[in-house]
Amino acid sequence: MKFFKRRDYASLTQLVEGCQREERRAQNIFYDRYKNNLKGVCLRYAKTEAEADDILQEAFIRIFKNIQQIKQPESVDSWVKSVVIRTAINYYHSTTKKELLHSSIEVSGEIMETSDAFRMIEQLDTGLLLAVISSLPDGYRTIINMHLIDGYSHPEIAQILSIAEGTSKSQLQRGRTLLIKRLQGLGVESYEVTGRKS
Amino acid sequence: MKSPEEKADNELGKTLRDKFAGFNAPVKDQVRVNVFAALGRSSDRYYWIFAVTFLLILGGLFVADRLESPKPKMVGPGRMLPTNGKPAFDNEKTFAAKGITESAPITDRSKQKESAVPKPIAMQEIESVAEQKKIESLAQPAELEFLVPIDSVNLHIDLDPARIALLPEKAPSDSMQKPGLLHGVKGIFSASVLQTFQFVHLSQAASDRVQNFQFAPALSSKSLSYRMTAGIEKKHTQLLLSYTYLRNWSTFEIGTNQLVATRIGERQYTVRRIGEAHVADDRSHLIGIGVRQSFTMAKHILRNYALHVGLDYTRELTKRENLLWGNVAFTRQVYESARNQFVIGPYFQYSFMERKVEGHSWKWRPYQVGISLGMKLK
Repeated sequence: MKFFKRRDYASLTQLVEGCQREERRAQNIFYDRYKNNLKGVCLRYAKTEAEADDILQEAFIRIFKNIQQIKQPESVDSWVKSVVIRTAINYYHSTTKKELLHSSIEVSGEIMETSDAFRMIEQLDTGLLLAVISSLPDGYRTIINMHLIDGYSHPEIAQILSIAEGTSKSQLQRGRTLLIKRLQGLGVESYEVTGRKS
Repeated sequence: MKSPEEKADNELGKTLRDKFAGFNAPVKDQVRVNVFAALGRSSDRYYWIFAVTFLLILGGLFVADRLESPKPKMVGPGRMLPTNGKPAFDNEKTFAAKGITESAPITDRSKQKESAVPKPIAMQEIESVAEQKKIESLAQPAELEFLVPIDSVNLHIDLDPARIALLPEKAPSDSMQKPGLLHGVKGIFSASVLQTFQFVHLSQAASDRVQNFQFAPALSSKSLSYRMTAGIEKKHTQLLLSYTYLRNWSTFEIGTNQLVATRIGERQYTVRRIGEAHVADDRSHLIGIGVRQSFTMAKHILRNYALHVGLDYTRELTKRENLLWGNVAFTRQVYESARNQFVIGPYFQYSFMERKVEGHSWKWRPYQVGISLGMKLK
């Protein structure tokens, strides 16, 4: 009998089961498997990289402490992501809810056509796009991330954030407008820079 | 039909999802350090704690064994004699202490007897023994073959065979051997009959609503377990290999959505949730290693009683679960012969680790109480 058997964790199921047994090696492999992807999610929800690191750290602690709840290890990918998103929401909970319920940032001036915005997003560097999203107020940023990127429905967002469904919809509309406006501004700056260079 | 705004949202969402699909970012090493520091000890660490403890005990036994082994003393140039019994021959230091020096050789016994100077007591003793041995030695001259060459001993002593006969009868090379690591090691075996009990910890996060737990009665075959150990003992420290058959039985219900309300008074009801009955019958085979320390009770208080305290690290063979047990036994010696010794007494062990059931609806921590019978081979 080998007391110090070294497991390979060949499948995701074995890896999750290893984490459920609180085996440190399995936890390390699990961490390495998800860390970069989840950091990307954290960066979308966070305002700064330092805050993204805080959220990621807290999320992993929650993941390892609650991984016993997973009964179907195949679904761990979506579960892990949902834990990170909920951790990020909790991180900004006080400010997010306050903004969603009470703020109404008015966007003045003309904004570009939506199709132009799509084209710009496609051409824009991911880092720059991330910077634009991060610059949005907490409430807008959260709803844009949840609905547009992570695919939560308005009823789900309303339940998670403890707000009315109508609030979720209206805040999304305003957040989307502000996002396009900021993208427009970024596009003009880029154009101006490019024009001067040329 | 979707509104133009919803369509625009969907398209914007699709564009953003495509943009962030597979988006990864580097993570600082400090995050990993913080995460695992917050998680605390993992089960893997128990392996290392146990292994290090085991090695330390082995090392301790070895060192203790080395320290206890007697150091040979120099008797003359290039010669050593053992001191683990009484020395066969008093060495120079002993002679000096008793008033005899090398410069006072004993050459003529008749003259010495006539001497006016009183002989030291030690000398008188030696001579009396020598006189006795002289007779025996003369009768058995063949024994001289076993003697150490006396000329190698740096003492001015006459070659009286009576004195030489006081030397050890063993060959010097044999007497120089030190006791090995296995010196004083005894074989031990024990068998224990145990009743298994459990502490149950229901999981709040589990989806199943577990209720109405009932355990097996205190004395029941449904929770009968047994344990066999074999190992070695040295200086009251035991190293053991063990096999444990662990059976634990309980019934429980998984609650349904149906409730039964019973009126117990005016406007008072008791509500009971109807549950589906289930039986948990856990039968496990555990293989383990352990250490145990024995403490003999003072004879004037409890004669032939001993207390044993130990740690066992076991592994469940099929589910690959590990359990760390602490155990205590209080035994009485019931039989002793020249070759073996039997002890009997109550035995208790407690698991420091919880076991999980499928679905993680609850965890249970076993503990066992029973009788242990042990045998020690001397």
